Amino acid sequence: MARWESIKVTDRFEETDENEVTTIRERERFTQALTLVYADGTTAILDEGSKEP
Amino acid sequence: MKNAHLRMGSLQFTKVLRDTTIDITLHMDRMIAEHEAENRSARCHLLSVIGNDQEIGAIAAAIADEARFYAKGPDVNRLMITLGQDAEVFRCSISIPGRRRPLRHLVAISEELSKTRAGGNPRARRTILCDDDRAFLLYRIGARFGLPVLAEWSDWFGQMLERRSAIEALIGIGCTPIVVKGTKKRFLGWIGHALKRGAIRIPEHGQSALWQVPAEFSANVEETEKEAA
Repeated sequence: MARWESIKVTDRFEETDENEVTTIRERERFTQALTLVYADGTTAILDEGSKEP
Repeated sequence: MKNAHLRMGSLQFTKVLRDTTIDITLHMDRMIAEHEAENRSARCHLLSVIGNDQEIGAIAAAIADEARFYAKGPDVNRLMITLGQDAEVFRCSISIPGRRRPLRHLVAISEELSKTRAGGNPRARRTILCDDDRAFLLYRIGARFGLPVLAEWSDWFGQMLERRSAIEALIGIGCTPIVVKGTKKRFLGWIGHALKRGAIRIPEHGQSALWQVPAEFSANVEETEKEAA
């Protein structure tokens, strides 16, 4: 069984200019995640951070 | 509506100013609140009140100001409540035949409850629900965390929550609210173990899941009206 969902993630960027002022930028966006449950009880959450499919 | 006095509570807001006192009491048809051990006041997650334009305006301003209210209901003793920071407020008008001016309706929800929507806060450890129906409970948890669940697992899931002390009743007017404690990973772990043990199973027909859950508060109102009649 599988379930897709949209999840909100926040990307965070830090920039330091020549005056050593650090600017933190946060950008929100939606991404997809897939949760799987197999009949034998194995489970998995696949999202953009997953290393293996 | 019939027998409103049997099922509605009241919300009282009092504020003493330099030269006057504001004292407003409104009919409240729904409320979800939770006792907090460290505070005198209870944390309110949802309230729904009806009144005139000025009264509703004052309540909306008080909520934005994080003010405290007194709530009372048919089965709820007088209770001090607050919605806390970043509560969301929704207002609308209700036209009543025979009345020159429409009534105003206000629904306010706490920040925590507002994040109960799908994908709102995927790492949440608590979920507040307005109904303790087992099918509704699993449906909402599944929708919130994106869990692959089936309606026929509802009883098993309810039993698991009780066995692990992960469910608690909250204070409610016009509803039977609960708080469910657990994360997506925890619930997914339960499902995996139960499938391994055979406590639940995935049917072989492969059809999409059909849920029969109360879609709105009105289902409860009808029941209450029948009881009250």
